[in-house]
Amino acid sequence: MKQFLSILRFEYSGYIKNKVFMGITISIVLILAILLSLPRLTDLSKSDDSSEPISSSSGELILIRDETGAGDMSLSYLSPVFPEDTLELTDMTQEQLQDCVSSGECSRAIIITGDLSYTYIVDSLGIYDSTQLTIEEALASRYQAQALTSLGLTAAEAGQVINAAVTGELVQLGKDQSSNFMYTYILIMLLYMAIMVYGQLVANSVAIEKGSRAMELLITSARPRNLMFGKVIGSGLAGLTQLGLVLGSAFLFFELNRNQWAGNAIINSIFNMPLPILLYTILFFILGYFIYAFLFGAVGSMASKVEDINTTSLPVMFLMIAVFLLVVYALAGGTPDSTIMVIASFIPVSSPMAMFVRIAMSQVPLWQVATSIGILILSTFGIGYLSAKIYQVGVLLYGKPPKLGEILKAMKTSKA
Amino acid sequence: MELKLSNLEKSFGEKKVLHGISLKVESGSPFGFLGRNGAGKTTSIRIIMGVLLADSGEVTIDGKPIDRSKTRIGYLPEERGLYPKKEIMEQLIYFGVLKGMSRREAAESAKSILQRLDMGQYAKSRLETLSKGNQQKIQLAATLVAKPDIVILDEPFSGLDPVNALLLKDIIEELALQGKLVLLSSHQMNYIEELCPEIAILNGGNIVLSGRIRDIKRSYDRRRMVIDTPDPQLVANTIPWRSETSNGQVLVDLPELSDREALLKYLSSISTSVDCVKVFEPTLNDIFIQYTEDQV
Repeated sequence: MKQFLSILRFEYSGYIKNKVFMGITISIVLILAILLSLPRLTDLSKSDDSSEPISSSSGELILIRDETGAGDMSLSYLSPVFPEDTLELTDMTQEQLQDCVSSGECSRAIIITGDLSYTYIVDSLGIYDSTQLTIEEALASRYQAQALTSLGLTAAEAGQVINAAVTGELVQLGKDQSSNFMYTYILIMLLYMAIMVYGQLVANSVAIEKGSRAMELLITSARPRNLMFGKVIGSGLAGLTQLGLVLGSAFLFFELNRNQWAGNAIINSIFNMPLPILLYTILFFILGYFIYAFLFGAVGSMASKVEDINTTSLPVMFLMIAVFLLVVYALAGGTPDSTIMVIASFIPVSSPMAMFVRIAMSQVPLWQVATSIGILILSTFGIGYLSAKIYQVGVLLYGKPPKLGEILKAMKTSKA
Repeated sequence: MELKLSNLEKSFGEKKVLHGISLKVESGSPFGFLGRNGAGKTTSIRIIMGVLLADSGEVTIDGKPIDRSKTRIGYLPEERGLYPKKEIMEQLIYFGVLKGMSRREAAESAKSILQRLDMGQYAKSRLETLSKGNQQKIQLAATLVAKPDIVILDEPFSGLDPVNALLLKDIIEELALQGKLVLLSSHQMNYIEELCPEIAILNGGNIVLSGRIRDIKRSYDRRRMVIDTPDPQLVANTIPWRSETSNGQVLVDLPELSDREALLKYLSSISTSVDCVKVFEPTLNDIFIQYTEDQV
């Protein structure tokens, strides 16, 4: 135990004293602090700039040419659906309007060519540009109102028919996937990246010791099991320290700027995630990290030098990428409880990510969560033990990475 | 203390590396463990260290199976390497603690060994900032920091300049005098010859020769004599026994041991001066080559 603790301490302090590791941590914390304080900083700069007159409209200029001769009516329908922008009627030709948009004098232009037809002029069409949909809805409303008034209804009656409100009630038994999606997506990305990065650190650490031949002395000074577990847990603690600092500072700076972020649904959804989800994130990070870190440690021992790591760790990386793609596919497709996800949530190498997504996005029976975690814990010890055996064999082998059969044969004759 | 290897056998797959080697090493003086590359030395050492399990046979200390939790073994591997970017003192303490010392004990021991190696001023330096020879000395410090009962040194002299080699020789002798069991493996036969009264030569996984160097040398034909003279060619041409010159000396093959007196009488009768007459003894290098040159 004393030996294991010494190795753990040595590994952990190695990361904490490492200038690059701490530099990256501090940089991320600073970037988060700046990003999360950005609305406050921009507010301050605005209030200082009191000499500049405040524009009556914060939006963009949209020019409208109505060829149907009902320009005012068009404006009365279009203005309410572009509340942020300034709409102006114009007599410019299409070419002049195109020049106006190209030069940036106006942001967009709309030519209404008939009751139900129009031309939309824009420079670059943005991914989220919904102008066309808005115009079509406004023109359709105008057309419907005209049709109804021609049938004898008053404008007010026509308005009531068109804007007839439907009342509905929602009985939600499970989770609201749309509101959970954003933080689940961010957390699964974080989980994937953290496990991959810290797992790779373990593989690198083993390969560095092997490459520098410090391993020759280490393996004769300490039990391989202690070396493997000390290294994995030491790196894991360093990872948790880094994640703790990053997440802690993110929550701190969000709290300090909570009022400024009040209008941002995405940011609020992330920082107001339920506490159980945060706890599950930590639990699945720890368990997922251990499973992969042991695997990375074992493959790291197969590399003769650090440069070989990319080759030897490929199988583990492919496995992890496959699990990540499966989980993200289910997340984006809104199918967290598909058969393959249910199966994946019980397989140790995929369950940290698959079960986490299921918990975040749907209602998972408690027994399934408990079983998945139980399997994961037992497998962690099993894989840890096997990895220590592979490690002991691997660290003594130099040259070409050994084949699986050779490792298994050598494991039989090695001492645990 | 007595370390005994009894009928150690070890195979890796189809390849048999050790064919039942037996060896006895006692504390008090360094023991030379010799063999060509691939003879099975590292495998034997790894079995002693407990990194590998022998297929059969056993390793005992004073007649009892070795308990590595009680017997500290310090190993200087042939392939050197520590942590290039870490402080020297930190590394030495780490290796001391791994072997069961407290941090304080390890720190004190590290300090004292660094001073003995004239490396005290580098305690806070990073390993990569030292010269190759000094890094070699730090490696030795890592081997000895836990005050081991058994010290196994694999090619300890490689990379050392003559001054540091002399310092290392002194340290090895001190360790032996302190009652440590010192096993020395090297291809630099002159150092083995100077330090180790006893040796074993491993060849193709078998011990092909073992015993005291003096006895081994005495077992060679003692009818061959060496004469040191300023004019070896003249002496070789005129001497009435079969002779040849080699390395500025005259080598004479006497038909019988009893002919030595006649040789001395003859040499005292000639006008050429003679500085020294002695029995020819092969060097350890000659013996090593003789016993290992057949290894594939």
